[in-house]
Amino acid sequence: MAAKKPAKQKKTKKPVAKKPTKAPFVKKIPQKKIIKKEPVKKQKMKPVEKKPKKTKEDKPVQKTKPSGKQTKKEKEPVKEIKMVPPPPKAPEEPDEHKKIRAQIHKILKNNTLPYNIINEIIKRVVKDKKLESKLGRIVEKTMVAYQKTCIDPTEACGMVGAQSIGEPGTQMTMRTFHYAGVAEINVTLGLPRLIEIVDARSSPSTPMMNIYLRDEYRINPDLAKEIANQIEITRLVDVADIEMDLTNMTIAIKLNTKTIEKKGITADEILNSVSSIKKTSAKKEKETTIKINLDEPGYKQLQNVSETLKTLKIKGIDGIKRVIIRKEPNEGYVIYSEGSNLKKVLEIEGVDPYRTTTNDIHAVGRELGIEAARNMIIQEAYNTLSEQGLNVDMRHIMLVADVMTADGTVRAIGRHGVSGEKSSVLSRAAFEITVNHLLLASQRGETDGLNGVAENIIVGQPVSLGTGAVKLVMSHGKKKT
Amino acid sequence: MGHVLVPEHTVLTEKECKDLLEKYNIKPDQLPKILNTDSAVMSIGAKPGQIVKILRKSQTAKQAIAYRLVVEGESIVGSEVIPDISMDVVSESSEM
Repeated sequence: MAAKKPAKQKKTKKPVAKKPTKAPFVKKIPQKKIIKKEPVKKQKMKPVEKKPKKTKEDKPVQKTKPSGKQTKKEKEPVKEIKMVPPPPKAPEEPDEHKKIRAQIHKILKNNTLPYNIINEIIKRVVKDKKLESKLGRIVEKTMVAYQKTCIDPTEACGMVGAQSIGEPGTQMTMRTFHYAGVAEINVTLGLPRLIEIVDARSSPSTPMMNIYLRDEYRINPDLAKEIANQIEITRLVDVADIEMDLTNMTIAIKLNTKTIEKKGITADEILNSVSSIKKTSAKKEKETTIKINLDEPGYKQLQNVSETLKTLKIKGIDGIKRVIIRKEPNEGYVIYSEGSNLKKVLEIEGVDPYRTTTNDIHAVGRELGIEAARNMIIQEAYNTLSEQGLNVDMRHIMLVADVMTADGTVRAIGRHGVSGEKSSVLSRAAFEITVNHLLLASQRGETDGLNGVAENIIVGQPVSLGTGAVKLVMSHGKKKT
Repeated sequence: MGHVLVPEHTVLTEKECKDLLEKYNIKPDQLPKILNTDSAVMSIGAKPGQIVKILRKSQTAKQAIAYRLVVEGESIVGSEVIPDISMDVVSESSEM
């Protein structure tokens, strides 16, 4: 777990007082129509239910420009559902702010301050005009204060991070399985989930998705249900009885009209998918019965075909075992699914492709890119920890996520990932499977530059951390007179 | 693109690249990597060797800038993998 930060990584800076971690990443509700003024400019919106303290500044209301994500469909008259409108892009900040921001950047020159600290200054200065003349001093003082809170160069931030996550982790109850908020969907939480995230398992033990819907789909329960039907996998056994007729060597499929109707499937669709089975011929007998004849009759074939029929997919997406539709306040209908298939779900019309998420980090990495995977790791790890009532600072988790995604792929922390791929032989040997690493290294004739911590401890040198990183040499020779 | 999880990616111009490398006194390969097969990279059409600027939404700083070097997808996957032998020696470490 001791994630050593790669040397080049920009250190996680510690800006002023910890921000209460609000506005989780997922919680984004798109605009429908603007009911209230947008709370604060130039900041990403917080969902309204979080009750953000509104800044007293008066700002011109900005009409959100129509975003590209609207469907072409004509909108239904929207019922009175309160929608919070986070526009896809932060609205333009007023000129006044821009001017001050430019000034601050001029004072800063090549130095940097975090974005929200600059925002804070701007906010204050706008409120109190007198401050504007003192802007230079303010920025300078802020810079000094900020630099004080920054982590020192060559500080072992990975070690601190590892301990900060590991220590509260010991408080976690082992094997916690929990019905998390979402009705009836069982999600792995707690320590097992955390291990899963850090190990970058190829698929989570309980994959699930939050499928958000678009426009009218999330308001109209029938449309939402329709999408749910498209997503949830429906097998033949779910909608029909399969009967084997041993004397005639045929199979009769008796459709259950009620369930078919509920799932929105027609008998013809079923017939279509049934006839795709090889070496059989299917035909419709009555409205609700399909008869299957074998090309080569035989008891064993009959058995085989019947087995195939049972698991035959009629409708839905592979991997999605179950869906639940819930009505969320301020959002409308949201589909929660057990099982995950991000790629296919995003293709369905009516699904909001901008907010739908899965807890499968690898799938997120494949479909949305490494940065999305990084965000997902942070979010999942943080939620897992805070769900257990553990307060781990965001930055430690961010560091872990940075290390895991540093080479463009999601790598595990541990033998198969980060630690197993270190360049230093001794460092790898110090971690796990010592003998093998040493043997392999000697076969290959590897060299060790003794740059890391573990290597230097092994050979008994000061490690290159903290004061040990500073190389000062004084010449001892006598001064010649 | 435009998913809530995907931050904004932009390709750096040659001059910006030079400034960046000078500012931090680094070589391009010291930056974190991003594959050229990455969907975010493909959507902006960055080529291997280019540097991508990422405007992250950070919970601590509201907005943070990160850079990644675009690399060939295979070069990472094909790198040497330490054969995982004699697992019996290792007791599954249940750290954390």
